[in-house]
Amino acid sequence: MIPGTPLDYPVVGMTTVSDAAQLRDALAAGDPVRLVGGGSKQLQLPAPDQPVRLVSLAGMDRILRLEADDLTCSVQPGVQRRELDAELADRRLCLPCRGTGTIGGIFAADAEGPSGAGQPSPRSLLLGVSAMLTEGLAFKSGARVVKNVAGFDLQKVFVGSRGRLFAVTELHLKLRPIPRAELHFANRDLTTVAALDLARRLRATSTPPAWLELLGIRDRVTVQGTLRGHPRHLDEFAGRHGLKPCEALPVLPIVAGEHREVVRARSPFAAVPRLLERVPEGTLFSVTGSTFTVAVPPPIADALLALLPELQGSAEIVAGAAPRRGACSARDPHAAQLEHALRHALDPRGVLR
Amino acid sequence: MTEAGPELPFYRDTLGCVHCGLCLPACPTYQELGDETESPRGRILLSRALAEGRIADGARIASHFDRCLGCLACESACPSGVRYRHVLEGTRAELNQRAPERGVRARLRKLLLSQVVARPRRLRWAFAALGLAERTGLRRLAQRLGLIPQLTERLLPAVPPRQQRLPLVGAFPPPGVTRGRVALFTGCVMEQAFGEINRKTLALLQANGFHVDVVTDQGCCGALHLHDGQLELARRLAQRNVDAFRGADVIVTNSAGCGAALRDYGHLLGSAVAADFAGRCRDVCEFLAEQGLSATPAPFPHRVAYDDPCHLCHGQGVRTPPRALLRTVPGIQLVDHPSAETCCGSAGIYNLLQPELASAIGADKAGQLRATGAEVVITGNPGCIMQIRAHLSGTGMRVLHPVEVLLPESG
Amino acid sequence: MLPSMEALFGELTRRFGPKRCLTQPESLLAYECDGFTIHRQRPLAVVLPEDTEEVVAAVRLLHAHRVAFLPRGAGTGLSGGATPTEPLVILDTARMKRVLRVDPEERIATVQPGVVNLDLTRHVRAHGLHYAPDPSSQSVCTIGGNLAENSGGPHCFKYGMTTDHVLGAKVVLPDGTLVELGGPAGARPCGGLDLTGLFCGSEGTFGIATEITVRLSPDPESTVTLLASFRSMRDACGACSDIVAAGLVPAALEILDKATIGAIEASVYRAGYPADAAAVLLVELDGPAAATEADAEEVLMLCRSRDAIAIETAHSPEDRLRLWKGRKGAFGAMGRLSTDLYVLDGVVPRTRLIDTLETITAIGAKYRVTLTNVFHAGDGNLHPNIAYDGRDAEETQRVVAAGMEILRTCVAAGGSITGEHGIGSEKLDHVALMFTAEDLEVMERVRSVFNPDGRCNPGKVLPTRNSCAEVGRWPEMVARVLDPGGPSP
Repeated sequence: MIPGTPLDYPVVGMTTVSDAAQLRDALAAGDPVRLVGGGSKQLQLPAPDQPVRLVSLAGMDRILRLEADDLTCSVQPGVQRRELDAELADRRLCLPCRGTGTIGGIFAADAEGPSGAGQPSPRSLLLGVSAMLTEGLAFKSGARVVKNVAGFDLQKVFVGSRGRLFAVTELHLKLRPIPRAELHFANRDLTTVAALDLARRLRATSTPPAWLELLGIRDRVTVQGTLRGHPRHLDEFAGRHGLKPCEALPVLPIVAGEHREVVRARSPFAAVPRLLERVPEGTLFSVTGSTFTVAVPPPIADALLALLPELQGSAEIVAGAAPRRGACSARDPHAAQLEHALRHALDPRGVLR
Repeated sequence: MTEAGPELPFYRDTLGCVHCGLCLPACPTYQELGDETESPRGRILLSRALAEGRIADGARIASHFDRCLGCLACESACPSGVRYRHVLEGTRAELNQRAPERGVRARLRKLLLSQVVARPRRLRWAFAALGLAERTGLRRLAQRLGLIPQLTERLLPAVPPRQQRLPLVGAFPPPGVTRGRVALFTGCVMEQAFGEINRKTLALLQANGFHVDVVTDQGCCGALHLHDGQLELARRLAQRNVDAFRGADVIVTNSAGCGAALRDYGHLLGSAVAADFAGRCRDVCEFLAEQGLSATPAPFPHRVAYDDPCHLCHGQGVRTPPRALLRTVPGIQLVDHPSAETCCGSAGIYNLLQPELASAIGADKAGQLRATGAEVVITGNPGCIMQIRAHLSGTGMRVLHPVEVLLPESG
Repeated sequence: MLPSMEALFGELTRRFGPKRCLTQPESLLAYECDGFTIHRQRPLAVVLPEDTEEVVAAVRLLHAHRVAFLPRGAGTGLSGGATPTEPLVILDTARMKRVLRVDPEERIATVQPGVVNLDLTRHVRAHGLHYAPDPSSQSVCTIGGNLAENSGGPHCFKYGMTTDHVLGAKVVLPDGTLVELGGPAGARPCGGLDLTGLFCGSEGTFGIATEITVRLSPDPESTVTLLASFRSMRDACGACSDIVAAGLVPAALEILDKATIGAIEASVYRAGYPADAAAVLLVELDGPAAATEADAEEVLMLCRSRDAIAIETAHSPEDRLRLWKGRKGAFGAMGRLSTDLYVLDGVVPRTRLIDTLETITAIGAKYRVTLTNVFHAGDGNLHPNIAYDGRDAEETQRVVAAGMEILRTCVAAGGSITGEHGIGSEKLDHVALMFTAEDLEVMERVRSVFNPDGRCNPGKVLPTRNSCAEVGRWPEMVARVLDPGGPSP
């Protein structure tokens, strides 16, 4: 079993591949397959609806090309984030999005969305891919260069696809220079109203924080985040908005428990107060970018799922018991049909689960 | 491609268009209709196709050129420097020649332009008759009987009293020291319908130290004929003016439409003398801004929106001088008017020929002007004054010519 | 005309009236091409709908009559994306120009597709916001067209392309089905696929967007523009690389070559560049005042160390406009050199710019064409402009051949055949430089999901229409295009 992979999977076996030929072989049989990287994100995904073979791309772990001067690199999907970050840091570069685990996994899951107002999300950093359909057909889309509009952008639809469309064998990424300065801040123990107000003010500036999170329980909320940019500006900005600098940001994971499911919602920021109304007293919640996360009992989870379309957003149960994990709010039925048709076109045998 | 193309004088002008489309947002008819055939780029394609012999029946494209306002906003927008005015005039002339327009209205228009507007004495009679009709109530009767279409009626100016319609002629020295000598172009309709503005222009130039000559043999500039495709008549009128102003150093105009036409005589007549004439023409605001006002204007404590006449900003490239002069008026407050350079729909006699479109465009303009919060609109072209006045009637907003607020206290 | 066509036109005219359903051959002349003028074909008719419901009605009628169609915005595209390749009807969005909703706090707007790019920025200016993607044609081009083409512009280096600013769209599929992709909260719904990202840049072959939700960006606190002239292109490109290597992220990094400078200085756009300048680099920095000032100092220093002849710095909007004047006028200045202008669009890794430019110059000489280069240096996005006389068939052929060879060079350097103009009808033959038959087959499958009958903007993006039947052609074509010794198309 891969570390971190949930036990509630109906798994018939596992294959770790280290090149395209092995990947082709692993997919050739046509039996149900779930593509994974290191498996760390499987805790947040719906369980397969039938027994699957896990095909892990963790063996494809080479950084193929790092063109520092061009601000691009090409990696295999199994490259670990921390390994890439170390390579990039040596060249004073970074991949400006959050996420841990394998690079392939970060893009396939696209779990968090943008980390702050106006920040890049993984989708804007993936320039192109080399990939393989389950039938073994190798293809590519996009390009290695930072700007390109040739052909249809299959790499875009890969982002967040959770390996349900095809397997990628190479990812071409857009990089950024390491910011000249960084400043963490945390303003603690605010009332909900004060916290929302501060977040709103920060979002309304011409240089919103690169990372901004509201974390806590009702009326005991921490507004924390990271400012990036020129050192002269950061101090001035923090002073102007009364931000309290701190060393590093606390990490408080929101986890599922007995009778508690983790719901992740994406909504306009203005809808956050309405979401909070549904959350029971004393429940830990987090708001980052346009993502709202909370752990609640199943009936409340269902209520949130039902509420989100009204708020022009969407929601999904990302952790909890297997049969409910992956349940998401209703969306336009025609869009759902298109998604289905797209999966069928790229994986006609329905191998990927 | 046929060999006919290169022979038509406007063919070369059409070739300058690289089809980039930057003219589209500038074109009022495209903005209103969304049909690219009603855009400069579309019309240039039609002209080119006509010249290349790809369009056999000219009558089928005539309506697209009829609908063009000739505002020349496309020329300001064009990066490739296409002289659209020459494409338009040339195409209209060619279409006229191929298939003279039939129908009572078209014949009446042609007759009016060639037999009345182009002839000063007949134009004076016409205005006299119109004035008589007004005084006797005949005009109101005709209106009530539906003999004059309502849209048209709203635009027709009230006929000024007789003494304002008398032609200005002679030499008018300034009250004090003479700074220079200029000739005033008095126009045709301007003289009859806006004689007061001509007189104020004269007074303004005098008050600022200029000796003003109003020469006798001048006449209609021919712009309306040119826009109607009556090239020969336009050339005759142009030649008359070139001759009449031979001795003048500077020819000052107060009508943007006339000014743009006068300054294009070089192209129209194709002679060095005409080009020299064109080089000596100045809009009154442009001239006074160059020279500087020596007489402080009377206080005018109002919120004012300056609206660029198309043939001043696009036709002559004059944008800053009127604004600069207005800023010197004590108490004046120039308000922001983002769509100042958009056509008001007057466009010569367009509002009489295409009342529906002109009215839609005029209503847009009125809406934009109301949104500025101004009390007074200032624009330097008679047609625009009439059109904007008609569309602002009932709002309490006044429409004036720049010279009217630049006069010093005593004037 | 086929009887069924007559029936269709009758129905369209009844629904839209003669002013919004154009069928006269003369009226259709204006629609025979977009900003790419080498291919021309008149449509059968042009329909001008005003809202989503009307688009649905028109598309349903067309679908019922099995007549192909394509969407068109302002027709400023430079790859023939809005030019018919077969008899079809154009759905023109020119009358769909309403801004439906602006939410300044959320920093989003929902607009109809015919809203002009710059008009959206004007509309939200009072809130201190703007729409970031700014193609050179931004005063004319529409948001719908931008979405279809995934348009770029000089400020992509920092702010990204259209795809980075589109959150969702209502789309009418080629069979008339209305579908909602993404939304204000993001392009991809939780648990769903990013169909918005896939739709963006599909060049009008997946359907017509009738309401588009985009992200608005805050106006920067300050902007500084620098213009540096250099004695050689190598120095200009070097300075550009130094700036990026120093960790600066300018909003724009633009370079003009010597031939462009010559064309500008000889035109009404004369910008007063030094006479001995072989290249001009334009750098725009934006952000908090403290940061832009410090960054500008650094750029100044880096340019000096590359022996810049002259450097000008501008802070006020008027002064900045003056520095941009030559860059903005480059297209017009080139347009004045001959009757037609072919604006190419290729991308190379930025470090390969200088070699590629040298090759391009050689290609220009080989094919005897008037060629200048203006480019988004930060992105390595080249725009070789070729002025020519389209009436001269032989010259036009040389221009097209030179274009093909230039793009082949770009791809060989690890780049792309288009950075922002799209494939359209222009680059159908060039696609094989970048993509294999397998790549194209997968793309064809994706297109078939949205556009199964191939009647929505046929003959664009992918070289053939019916993949299964004709896929055999591709390897042949790939071989032809990849063989430089073979006959030029």
